[in-house]
Amino acid sequence: MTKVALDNVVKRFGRFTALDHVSFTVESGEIFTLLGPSGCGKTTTLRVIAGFENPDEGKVYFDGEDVTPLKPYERGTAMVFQNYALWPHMKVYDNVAYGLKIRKLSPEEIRRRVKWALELVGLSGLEDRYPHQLSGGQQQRVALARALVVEPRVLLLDEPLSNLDAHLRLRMREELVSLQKRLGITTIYVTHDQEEALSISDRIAVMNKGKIEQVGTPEEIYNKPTTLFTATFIGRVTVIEGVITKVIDNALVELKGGDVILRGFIASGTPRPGARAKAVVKMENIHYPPEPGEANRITGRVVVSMYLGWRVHVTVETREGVRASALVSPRNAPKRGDIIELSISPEDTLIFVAD
Amino acid sequence: MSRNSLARIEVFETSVKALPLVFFTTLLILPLASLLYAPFTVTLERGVDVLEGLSSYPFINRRPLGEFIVYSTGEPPKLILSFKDYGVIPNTIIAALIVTALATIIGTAVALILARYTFPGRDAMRIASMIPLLYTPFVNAFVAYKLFGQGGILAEVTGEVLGVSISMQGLAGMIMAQVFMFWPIVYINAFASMIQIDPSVEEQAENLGARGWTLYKTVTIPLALPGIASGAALVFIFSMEDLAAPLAFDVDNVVSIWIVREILAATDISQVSTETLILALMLAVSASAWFIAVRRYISLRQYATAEKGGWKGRRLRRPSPLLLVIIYLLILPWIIVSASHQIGVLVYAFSEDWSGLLPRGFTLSNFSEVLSDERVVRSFRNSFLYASTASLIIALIAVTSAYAVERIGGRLSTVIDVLATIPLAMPGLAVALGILALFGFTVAKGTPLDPFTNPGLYLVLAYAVRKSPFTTRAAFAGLKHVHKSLEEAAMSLGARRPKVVKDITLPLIAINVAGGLLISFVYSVTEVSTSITLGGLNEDQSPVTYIVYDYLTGGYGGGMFIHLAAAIVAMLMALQVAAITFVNLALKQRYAFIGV
Repeated sequence: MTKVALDNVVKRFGRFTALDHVSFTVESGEIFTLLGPSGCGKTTTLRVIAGFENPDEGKVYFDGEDVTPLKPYERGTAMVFQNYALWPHMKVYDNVAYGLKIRKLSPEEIRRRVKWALELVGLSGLEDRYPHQLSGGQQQRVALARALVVEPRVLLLDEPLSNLDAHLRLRMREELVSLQKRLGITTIYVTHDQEEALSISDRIAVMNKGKIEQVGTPEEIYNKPTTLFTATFIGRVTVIEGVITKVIDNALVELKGGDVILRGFIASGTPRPGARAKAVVKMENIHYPPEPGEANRITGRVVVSMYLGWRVHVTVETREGVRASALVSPRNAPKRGDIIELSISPEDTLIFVAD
Repeated sequence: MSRNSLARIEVFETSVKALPLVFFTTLLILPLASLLYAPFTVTLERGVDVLEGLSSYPFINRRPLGEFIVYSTGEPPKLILSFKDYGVIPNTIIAALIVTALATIIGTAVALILARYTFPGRDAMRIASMIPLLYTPFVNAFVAYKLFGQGGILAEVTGEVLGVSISMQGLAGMIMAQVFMFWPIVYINAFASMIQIDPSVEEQAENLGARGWTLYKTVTIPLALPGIASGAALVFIFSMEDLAAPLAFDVDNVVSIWIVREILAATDISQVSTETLILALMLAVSASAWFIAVRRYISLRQYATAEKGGWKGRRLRRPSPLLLVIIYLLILPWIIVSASHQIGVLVYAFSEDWSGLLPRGFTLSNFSEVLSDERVVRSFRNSFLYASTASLIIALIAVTSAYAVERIGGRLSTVIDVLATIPLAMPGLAVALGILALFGFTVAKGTPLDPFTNPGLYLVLAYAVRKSPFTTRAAFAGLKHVHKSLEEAAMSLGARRPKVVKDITLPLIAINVAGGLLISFVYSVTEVSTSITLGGLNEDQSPVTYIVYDYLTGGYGGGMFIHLAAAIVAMLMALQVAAITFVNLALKQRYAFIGV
């Protein structure tokens, strides 16, 4: 059980800063996910932890020990790559046994542990197959077995499920979590899929442009975003730009955007009348038909009505051109051109004041 | 570089980089540099102004001699295409420019037709257009002379049919022969570029209304330009250093012939004139300049070849009737005549006499005669020994260079990249003379290692330098296809780099390297320019291509010896066909013969 810490890590590629003073701590035994859009630096962060990239500044600690100068093969991590990186010239058995042979374990011990690892991922009996004789899901399991069999201090997973089809991805997600909880290996997981991140993680670090935006539990990240980026990146949201007209108390303000007036709670920034701000509301918190107790109201003409199956995505436009979207039950979905009223609770309206 | 990696000296990485650097510096850079050093000291000693020598006759003729076209009355009257003699340096440059221009136009046109059209006979044309790429040292140029030189087949036929006998001589004949020999180099590079163009790129242009020539002019050819340009650069370089065509058409005043004559007449480097050393250096410098310019150009245009294209989605259409007429009346005969150079070698090899229009007397005696000649057998043995020893060195240099560039990177990797590929373009004459200048003039002078007495060793080294790019490129291609994560996965499981290389990298690129080595081996055996210069210095150590040269130039007095030379070259052709077939079929690699 290893605790991982990054302290002000900076990584530049030429003039491009891939990681800009990245710091976070991963508690031992937890699944910690790096989540962000492509190019945000999450894979680079993982590669710095693995030792494939040397940071230009900052340090990496495993259990308080500075591992920054250590080579990848000295760190005791094991990485599962997006493309699995199975060695095509080795059978499943040899792929899984490789790390054990490097550690010079006895042949008997190697056999025992390879058997254990293949059972763990449900691949017993496929020892003599070559990687190209396996399905994508099986290859993924071999890659996982190969990493787990060496009992790494830290397990590093780089978008491990992204090459699988949707069904298999869901199943592997569950298996991965139950395996990790059973073995208790500190796991750092990279993904751009927010649903995946929310469902498997103990904690998530949201990254953007080489920086950490927010670190928190899935609930915190989803419900209490502290930056505008996190608020708009996670989930489906409606954003209304405007000016703060009234500061009711330190937390509650009134924002006017066009002909829409909303009350909401400050998520970041210092509220003052006249300041520019954005109100962010998760679409599922915008209600139609309007709920009686909700103070915020938006009235407009339906300009988009898109059927999604479980919901209908409805966008209304007010007279002054402010747009808001809601996810509406198909049973009472309005039609294009209808004039309707939407309601939002101030508790669900997060205000981000521009600096 | 971060302080972390600076703090720890990486022995493996450093050695992998050092090996090719030391190798190419010792055997390529220093020899070429000493081409400059030697004339400099000689000039100081003798007070001769080298540049003044180079700017006058015979290097530059201020009053060009001869005529472009010679017409003589007679029965039938003769029309002989010739050329003016502008002197050694202008002749070489003018000829190289004309050859490059013609070869580029023809090679690109043939590539476009074979890459984009389907018509009866296309596959046969594709195969026939590869035949001229078989290396047939010297003899093919003598076949060219037989085809359109004085008293050749063209002269006979036109004399009969048109009443005027048309032939070529001198520089004009040399240029024609080189165009025939070298256009397939442009073709093969252009073709490779064209089939790699993502089909959707052309489809998009057609979708927007571009068609026919507009499509080619605006999309296809610009995207294939890197291939065309690298082919053209190689043709220019090969034309400058070619010996076969000037020998066959009896052209003395070109740089290549000038250099060879001087070296073979010398028993010691001090007998080689300073002007000759400068000429060799000029060859080296201009070849490098072309090479580096083209490489920069290509690297700036990497977008041109999308990996996806390939053979799967190739777009073949039917040619219009007019184009079909052009294909059958112009392109097809052109390809047949080109291939007939190689076929002519076989005709010479299997016939008793070919002084008239048609050969006479099928025979195998040419083969039995050369194989019973102790000198020929020894030269074959020498060539195989040199080439296989060189291949061992090449294996090491190629793998380390490719690994250093593709995997280790960092400072000096660009230098290694250039050093490891530039020998492809470096004229062998410059390499040979450089080795003589460095080792014969300074380091090993008078010792048993003096190249003038013991050239075998230097032939091995010269082959290793000159033919390594074939293996380096194969290793490089192999590494490109081995995803870096395969090696990182092993490293993350605790394997150090040497272990990773041994367990993962080498097994995965072994086939590529083996294929490359076979090609390097075959091209070492058929190598010409260093073989006839260094190899001619001590007959006991001569390689087989020197014997071919000797048969054709004097040692045996020319004449009927062309049949014997052709028999040797036919065996070399068989060796190449066997090797290329093996690489393609057994090792399943698509092998491009020559390219930057």
